[in-house]
Amino acid sequence: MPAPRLIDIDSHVLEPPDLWVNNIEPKYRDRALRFEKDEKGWEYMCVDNAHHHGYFLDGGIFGRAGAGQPNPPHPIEDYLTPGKVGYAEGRPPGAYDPDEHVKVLDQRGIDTVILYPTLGLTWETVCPDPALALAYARVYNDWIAGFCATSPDRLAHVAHIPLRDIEGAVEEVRRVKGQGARGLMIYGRPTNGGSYGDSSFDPLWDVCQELDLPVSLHASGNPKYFGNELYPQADHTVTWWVYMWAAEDVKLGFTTFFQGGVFERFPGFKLVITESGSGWLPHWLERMDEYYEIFGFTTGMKMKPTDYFKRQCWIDMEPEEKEAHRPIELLGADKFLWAGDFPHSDSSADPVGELKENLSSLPEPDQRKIMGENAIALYNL
Amino acid sequence: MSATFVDIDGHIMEPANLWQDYIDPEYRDHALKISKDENGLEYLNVDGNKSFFGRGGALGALGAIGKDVRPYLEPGRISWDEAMVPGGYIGSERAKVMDDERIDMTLVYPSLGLLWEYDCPDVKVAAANCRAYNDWVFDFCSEAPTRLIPVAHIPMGDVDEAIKEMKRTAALGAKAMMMGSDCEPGRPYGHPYFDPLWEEAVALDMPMTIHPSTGPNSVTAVAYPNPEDQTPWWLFLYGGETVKLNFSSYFNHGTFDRFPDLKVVILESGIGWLVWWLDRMDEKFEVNGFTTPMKEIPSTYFKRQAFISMDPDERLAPLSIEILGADRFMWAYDFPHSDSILDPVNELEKNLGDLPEEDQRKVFGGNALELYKLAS
Repeated sequence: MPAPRLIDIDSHVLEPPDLWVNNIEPKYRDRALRFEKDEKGWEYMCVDNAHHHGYFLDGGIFGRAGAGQPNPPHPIEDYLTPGKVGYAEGRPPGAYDPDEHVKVLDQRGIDTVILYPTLGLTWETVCPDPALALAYARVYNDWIAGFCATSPDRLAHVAHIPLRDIEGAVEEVRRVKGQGARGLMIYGRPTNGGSYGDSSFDPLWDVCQELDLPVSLHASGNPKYFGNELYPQADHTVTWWVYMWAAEDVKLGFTTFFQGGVFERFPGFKLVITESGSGWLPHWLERMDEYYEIFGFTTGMKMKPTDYFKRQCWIDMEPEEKEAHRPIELLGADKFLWAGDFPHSDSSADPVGELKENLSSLPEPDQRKIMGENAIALYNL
Repeated sequence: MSATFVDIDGHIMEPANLWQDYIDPEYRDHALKISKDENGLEYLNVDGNKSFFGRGGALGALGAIGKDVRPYLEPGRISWDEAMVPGGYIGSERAKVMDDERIDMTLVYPSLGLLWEYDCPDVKVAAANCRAYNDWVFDFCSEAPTRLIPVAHIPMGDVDEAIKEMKRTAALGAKAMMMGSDCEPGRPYGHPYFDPLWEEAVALDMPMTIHPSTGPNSVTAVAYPNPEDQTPWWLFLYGGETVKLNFSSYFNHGTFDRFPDLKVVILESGIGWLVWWLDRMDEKFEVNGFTTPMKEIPSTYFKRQAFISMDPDERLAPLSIEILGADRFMWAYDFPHSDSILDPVNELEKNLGDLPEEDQRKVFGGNALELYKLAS
């Protein structure tokens, strides 16, 4: 039997810091996304010429985005010390040079990777101008398409679709389909703080269904992220807390699709839950089902949440999740994928090794599905 | 196999005039009560405010266990008084329900009491309403004193008031304290602001329990700030998440290190998330633990200081107990709320039947007898 194919469905590039300044349409050039420094000399993301506050928007620890590279040149503490390691300095070559990224894949034993942005996960919520948000996204989407075109068998990507203007979002979906995007990325929770079940989003799910583009919900630097519900003051949030709760933002957004009956209205729509772990899923589906039996008539659903999940959803596990085999045993292997999360600070240095170890108790056909076959089918790789 | 069955979270239904009757006279004008809005729909009146969730003429759904919940959720169709079940407000009647259900003891929790704390900005008024409820619940439990175990609701908007009420009710025989999950943003229960409370709780060896409560700061409201947009499905689904958030804050602030003898109980939030959550806490701790004050791997604190209750019919319970051991698990009936199932003990026996008998006994009641210091 040939060796299993290994498809990492969620790793990251670290965009060039001057990407937007150099490439945005001229009329937006003076509002381009860029880094600036505050009075302490710490980097912050300058979004539409404004300094916003939040764990992922300022505070001078952007270097951490590259801390998950193999043998990082600095100790992790330095990456998390404000002002110590800048964004550009913290980037490993594989995060911005496609040939170098292919070398990372070779070293790790990965066949194909699906790439996501990093800076692209920080700015959308604090960019209130829908036209500007779409202009920022077009710059990234053009660049990542070019990045992946250099090694189309090894590098694939999803496009970032900002959500403040649904008509504009639909247009961008059609455009990126033509550029070879394999899917789309949206933030774990809607930019406006509401629910994905709201019918105002329907045209987007409709076009995704029509073009067979899976939508990924990704953890993001939404400054109103879930963990902040108890900690509106940033001084209480520590890195440990932020990473614990980032996943809950995605779970919340995911659950609003059920409450709003989106899967009922769009039975061909495909949703992928990324970077949120997978161990919560059996419990959550059971709880959703249990309350559906009593209160389902108050929602937009017509069948059990688990049935929608099995028809239309996928989830990625983290290679280092020691208990990952349990959700797979409970729910079957068909809906599970895995993600390496290169080069972020909380990712594994040896994802394939850890993945194989943590899946080793499963039957071999199931292991092969999770390692790559499910992703190949889902993304038409 | 013989076992003692202790339901660690069963609810009463407060008589509508409870607070009027039991509150200190000087606060009578501020007593909680049920009022009607301009459409004639009942709501819980919290010192002149409408309860965030206890409005819209569907309070009666809190008494709908085992019944078709649809009419109860129809605004204005079934009033609070009509929904009252005798076991919800008469202690001797509750004992009969427990006989029928083979439950030996129940730790008693409020219903309307879960709907108001965050709609009451005046901490003195909140404390007075807590005192009124607590005095009533002692009376309720006195009708079957070996079987109905009083738990006191302490006002968490002010740490001094919380301490005062804990000491008062502990002296009267309360076996645990209830803290609503909804809290002041920026000040979850792990926050050092509450350290004086934990110090007293440790001195009294008092288990501190976190129960889902509703309000504008709860997680249920994150995606749906307007309470009308939260279906009951959503409310019950996310009700436990604020408990989880609050519970996790004890780790973030290193509270278990400062109070290694503090005991915290997680109620009505399911247990299937716990194995994964501890795994994730540990995993993120390996990389980013130095950014927190915690000295140990997070799961260590759980195994030392926390407890959790399962729903009798949770299919993932046996697996969770196998992975983490039986010592930290208990169960809860949740009578008479509409999201619960009848016949909990049979469900529980069926559900945990494959575990070793010793583990079953612990979860059925052994752990609770020990934690709450109850005479079996």
